[in-house]
Amino acid sequence: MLLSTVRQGLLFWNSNMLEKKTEKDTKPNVLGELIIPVFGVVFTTYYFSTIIDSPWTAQVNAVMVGLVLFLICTIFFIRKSQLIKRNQARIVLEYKRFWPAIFKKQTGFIAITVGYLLIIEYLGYTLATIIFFFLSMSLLDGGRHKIVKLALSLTMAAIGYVVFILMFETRLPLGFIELSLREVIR
Amino acid sequence: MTIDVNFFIELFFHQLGLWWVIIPSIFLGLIVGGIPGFSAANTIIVLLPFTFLMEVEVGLVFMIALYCSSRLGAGIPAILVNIPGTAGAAATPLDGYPMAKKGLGQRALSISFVSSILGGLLTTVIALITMPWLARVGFYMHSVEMVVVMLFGISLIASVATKDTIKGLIAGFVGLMIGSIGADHVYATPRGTMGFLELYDGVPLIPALVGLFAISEAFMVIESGSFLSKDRVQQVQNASWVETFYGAKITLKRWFHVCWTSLIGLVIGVIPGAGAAIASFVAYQQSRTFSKTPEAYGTGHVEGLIAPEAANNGVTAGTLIPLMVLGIPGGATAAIMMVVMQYQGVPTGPGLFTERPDLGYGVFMAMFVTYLLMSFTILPMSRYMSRVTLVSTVYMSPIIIAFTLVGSFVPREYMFDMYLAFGFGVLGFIARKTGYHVAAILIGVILGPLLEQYMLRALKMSGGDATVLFSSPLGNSLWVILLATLVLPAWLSKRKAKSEKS
Repeated sequence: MLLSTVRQGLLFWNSNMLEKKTEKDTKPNVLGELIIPVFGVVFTTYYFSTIIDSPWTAQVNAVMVGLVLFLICTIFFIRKSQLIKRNQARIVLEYKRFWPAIFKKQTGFIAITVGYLLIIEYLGYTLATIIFFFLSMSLLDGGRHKIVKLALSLTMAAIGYVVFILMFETRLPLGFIELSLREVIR
Repeated sequence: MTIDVNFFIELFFHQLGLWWVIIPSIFLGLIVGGIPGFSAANTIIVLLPFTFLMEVEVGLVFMIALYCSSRLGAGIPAILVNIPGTAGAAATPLDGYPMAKKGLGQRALSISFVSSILGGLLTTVIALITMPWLARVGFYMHSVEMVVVMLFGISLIASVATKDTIKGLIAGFVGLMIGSIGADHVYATPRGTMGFLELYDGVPLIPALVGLFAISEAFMVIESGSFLSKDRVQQVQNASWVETFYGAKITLKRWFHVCWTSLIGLVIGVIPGAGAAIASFVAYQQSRTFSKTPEAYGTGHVEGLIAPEAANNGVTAGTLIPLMVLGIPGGATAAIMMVVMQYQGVPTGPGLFTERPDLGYGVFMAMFVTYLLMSFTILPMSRYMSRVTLVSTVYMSPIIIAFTLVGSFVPREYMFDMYLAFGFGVLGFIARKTGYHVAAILIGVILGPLLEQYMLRALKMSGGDATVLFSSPLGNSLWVILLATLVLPAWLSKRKAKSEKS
């Protein structure tokens, strides 16, 4: 109930914000497109710093690849700046659209995935997977059919337990459920 | 024992008699091939104690069937939900997934199955006939030649980025830089590892594959709520057997395309250390280069799906040739087979064909029978498999995340690999949202370290002299072919455009 109310509110806010388009908005915003090349340049600079005192065998490949990457990124930055200069594109962090975008379902799902990765070591694979399935399906579907979702979460986690832990004997983190089941199976 | 036609006919029926091992292994292979991280090699290792208990012949047939079907199975999630099960299927979603998005999942699966089966059958027969000669390919392919082969694959970056070349190149080179992470091959100097010991061996492939394709796709599809648009849903729901037969028909019509791309797979498979990922990328790149409609690649083009699937199934026969003829395993699965054969006291190498020809030739015959049985068991399933695309993303996204994260954990059993897969997922999500091709990043991550390894080996042997890259006749021929495949299509299309204008 609470989840769906929050979701409805956020969706309403989101749609309201998106409707308030100005003329400026029709020009493409190139800010997002810069993330990957900036990441590439920053990472390559860091990489170079780690090989600066290394023998040539450690440097040769990365220097070649890195320099080409620098060159391509420079061309890309020049192109984009020319577009901005010609008033054919813009570069701006749109706060009004940024915050509603942050509260989208996707962001919630990403946050639940991060949470899953953090708790899996402490709660064990099975329990963490049950929680992950239930929360993520509830978020994505607006909290309806809770019993069905719980049953699905239990089934999926059980399949995972049987296949990955019992059959393939992977060393996934074990928690209360796995240890109890191990005792029962013994 | 006389090796004649009768021997092969008897061997065929003998292997067919082992259907009770082959068919269950096919289905097991489909499952493990479809889950990233659970390769045939992993599964065979897990089931190794059972393999030791089986008769050597039954054990080998089990491993062969599992190996072949897992190769084919890896393409299924690649087509339906954009998640390649193994690196060998990384080129499959380039055209397979756009077809599924158009509501043609069943047809795409049928094309993939038929081209895989035909490619597998053809290369098995060729392997049986030309084994002694093909085994020599490995001797001629040194570091210099392998550098050029890698460049064939890497040049695909430019092909997948036809819409925006500069963005494609940025994505590809970012991938190559990420692929350079890890200890230096000669002095083991750590490079770009950010202090993580887990990255000293380089960036593990499965977390990169899982993150860039599966996790980023799971984040992306939430937006639409379904893999398909509403009109496509109806199309998939109403699909009949006709779609499967149509897919098979259009693949059979392109039999020549299946033949030459599967041969690329066979030849690359023979080279120890190469493998299905390189073969499928090279086959895709070559297929696009010689196509009359290169602009259609990446939009759900039939030939763009046939090429990687035929090639990666051609690799299966290729990787077994060095093991059977020379006693040198051509890949991970072949190495495990060698362990089983040695445990059972069966010789590998030339001795195998003189002492136990039934086993030596039997391995390839088992492969032939497996592909034949797959055409009856798997092809009809395409109709039902394609319905996966109808499942709501409310259920599919959590399933994709939970199961593929485990897949990224399995090969090395480090929790770090799960975090790494998530990191790649975020990178892939940002890349997709901002118009960069994740396949270009992945090509860089897969082929970058291999290119470095072979190039360093060549330079080290020549004392740092870069002209070594142009010192061998075979290498130089490959350089010429590479240049021709890169320059000729562009030149020809320009000439064509000019003549059309005039």
